[in-house]
Amino acid sequence: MASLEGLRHVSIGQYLPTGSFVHRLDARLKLAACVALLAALLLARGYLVNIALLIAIIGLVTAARLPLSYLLASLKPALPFIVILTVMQLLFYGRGTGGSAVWVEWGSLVISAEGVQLVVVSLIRFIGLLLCVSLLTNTTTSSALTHGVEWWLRPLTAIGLPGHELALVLAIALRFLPILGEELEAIGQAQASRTITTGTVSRWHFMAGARRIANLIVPLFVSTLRRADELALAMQARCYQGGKGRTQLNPSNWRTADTFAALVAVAVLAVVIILRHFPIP
Amino acid sequence: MIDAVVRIQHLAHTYLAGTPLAAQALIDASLTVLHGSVTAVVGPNGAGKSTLLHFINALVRPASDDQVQVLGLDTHTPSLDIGVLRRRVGLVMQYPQQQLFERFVGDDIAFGPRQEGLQGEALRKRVFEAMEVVGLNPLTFIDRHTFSLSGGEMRRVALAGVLAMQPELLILDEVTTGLDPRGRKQVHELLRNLRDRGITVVFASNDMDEVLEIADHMAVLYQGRTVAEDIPTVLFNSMQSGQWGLLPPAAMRIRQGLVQAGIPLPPGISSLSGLEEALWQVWRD
Amino acid sequence: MVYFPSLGSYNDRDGINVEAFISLAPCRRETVFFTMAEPFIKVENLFYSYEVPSMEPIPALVDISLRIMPGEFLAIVGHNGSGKSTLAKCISGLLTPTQGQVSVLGLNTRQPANQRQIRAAVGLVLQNPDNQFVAAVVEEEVAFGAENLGIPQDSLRRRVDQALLDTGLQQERYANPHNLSAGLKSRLAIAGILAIAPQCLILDESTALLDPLSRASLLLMLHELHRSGLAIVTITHYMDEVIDTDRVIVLDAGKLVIEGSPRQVFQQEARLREIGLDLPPVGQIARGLRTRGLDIGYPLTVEELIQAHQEHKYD
Repeated sequence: MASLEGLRHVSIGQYLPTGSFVHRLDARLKLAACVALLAALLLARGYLVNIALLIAIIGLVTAARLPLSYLLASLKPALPFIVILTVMQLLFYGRGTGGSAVWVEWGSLVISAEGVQLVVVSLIRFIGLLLCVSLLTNTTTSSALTHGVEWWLRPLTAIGLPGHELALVLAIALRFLPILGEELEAIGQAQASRTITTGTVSRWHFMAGARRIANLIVPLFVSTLRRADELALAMQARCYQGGKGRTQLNPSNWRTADTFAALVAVAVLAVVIILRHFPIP
Repeated sequence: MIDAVVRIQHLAHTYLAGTPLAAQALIDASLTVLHGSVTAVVGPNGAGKSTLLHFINALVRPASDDQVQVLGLDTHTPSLDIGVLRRRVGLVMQYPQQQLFERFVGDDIAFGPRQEGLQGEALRKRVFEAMEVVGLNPLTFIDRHTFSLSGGEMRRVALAGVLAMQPELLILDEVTTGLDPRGRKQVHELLRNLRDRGITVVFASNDMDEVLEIADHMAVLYQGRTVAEDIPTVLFNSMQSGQWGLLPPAAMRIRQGLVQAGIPLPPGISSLSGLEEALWQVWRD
Repeated sequence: MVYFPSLGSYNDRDGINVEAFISLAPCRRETVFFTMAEPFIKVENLFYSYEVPSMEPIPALVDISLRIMPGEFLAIVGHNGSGKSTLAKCISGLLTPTQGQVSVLGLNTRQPANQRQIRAAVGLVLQNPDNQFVAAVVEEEVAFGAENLGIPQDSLRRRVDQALLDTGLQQERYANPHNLSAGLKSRLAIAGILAIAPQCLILDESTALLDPLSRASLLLMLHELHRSGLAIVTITHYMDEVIDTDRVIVLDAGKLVIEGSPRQVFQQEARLREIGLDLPPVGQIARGLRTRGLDIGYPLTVEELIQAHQEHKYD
């Protein structure tokens, strides 16, 4: 049942103060840089650029003094799905378009160089995406995050959309992810403690794991709604009436380091876009 | 191993070990539960009580042999059939809303017995029995939505769901916390009934009056360690107020106050009625 | 307080200076009090029913009238489902009465325009702190309510510092609320309300999930806050928490059935037994002794029991 404990381990949405310089960067910059990095990941072609990007992201994680293994462990609950998807994609991708080399052919199952590249690149993108978002939430308090998102949504607010509300919803949703992870673990344990089907550890570990998680969704949904209800009440009790006229305990202040980081992010994105036009493996 | 249903020795456990979120829940915990007894695991919030109870149900398994033995089975053994163990060991969790997962009360209570292959009339009978034991009227409750229940009703349904599996060993994690006095009394009565039926009960609590009232044996858990294990009255007589983050039962605290004020009361009084009797003696003279 | 004679200090945790705490009391609240004669909250013939789709509304409160004075310490007791929480939500303006009126500082809770002022004056702390936290850092969590009120930054900082000091959470300032112990989480929920600078604090079973020592230390904290001029309404099942309050009301099935000082309420033994509520432990002993024919009055605390003993001795 060690895997149940894994459910609690959601690093996206946690906040882990280590006092690094990444933590001190302005939330607006971190949001934009995160989006830029995600865009770069999606636009990058070929092995080399993707791997370079992943290394850069890992570098940032290290600079933020966040243990890499801790961020990656979030993948554990999703592992069964990832493995299944990867294998399917690998087997059923086919020959591809460019007439790339075929490595294995067995009946209608074809593993081509292009298929392998697609799978590997997808995995890198997925891991990069997870690291980027975890990096953002682990180094930014929810209040700073709310204000950051709110700032970027200002154009929307100008045309009458509820920018602050959207920002707060996003920040709270992120913050609740680890709590939901714990809740999922507790519900899973409750089911497990009453599950008495004979047998030792299932050989079909992955499939069983996937099915078990599906079984947890309904109770999780109900409990989430109840929590949301109580949270709304607690916010009302603390005079929350939307973003209008709110002040801030720790207002953000933009420093030179932020400008510098912004330039680096823009440069990375630009380089990735330019490299798209060159044939790099 | 004559009569011990549970034997836990020098158990340690860290949640999320090796991550920045690592939390050491148990450092050196021990617990012995004798057959047919009601044993209390006592300690302040966060002492590790829930974790210890989860080990008994094999929700968490120890790192090595000879640390956790339940009903003569070592839960470390990789080939252990957990299903068989869990059929005999029922766990009622602290937050009942996390334990209920079916839509209807009847289905939820039937979840365990159904897996044993019970069907039709036999299943119905088992579910009804369990509901009656916990004081839920089967006819009015069986078709209720589990999520429309009040907190107290949820606890009963959770308890019924576990009792329907007819466990030999029942583990209850702070099931009276947050209940009103009437609800507490009903749970206490229920536990005494279950003991009379021969079920061994282990319960976690931080209410010493409750422990005094229903437990035969208690283990005190403090910051992940078992710091004392004894008969409640004996332990309470030797413990200091505030020690291990606990307060002794009300009667003992009152007695202490009276003795300090120079009122001669005999030692060893643990109940309010005992204290009343002793005061009566003093006053009459 | 008398009930926990062995708890010598205000707090079981290190680093909290009780003297500093008390000496700050007179200057810390940014509140102007009304004259004592004016009730702070008025509840008149309040009815509240929960609407359930396709069913008859479920009555939760039936014809409740109540006045709460500035600086009062009021306890509301009753069983689960007796309407205590609903009453708290009506008083703090989170629920609008089905019938009758609730007014705070003369402002009717029915008027949406009054909402902000009412909620800023009456702070409600809900039972389960886990579901209330919005922020990832303790000090930002404390600031949330005051930020909503648009308090300027320097004054905001002061309020947060004061609320952290009042609740003994200075050391946890930068911690993640989610990682605090149960006792500290309850304190944090209270700190978040204190930063709003309310005149009245309502606690909906804040002690119910706590162990006895955390409970005792939270109660001592509440009494300190009360001493500094804050009105406190506490909802509880624990009869021993009620003894030190100014006034008690007992709810049963949505009705206000007993009202009075703790002494007056606990003398209505037959009535309490009917409802299924117990006396505090000392009261239970005294009741037993009275039925044996001893005339010892109605002591509720150990001190009073000792006093009764001494009076008996010198009779």
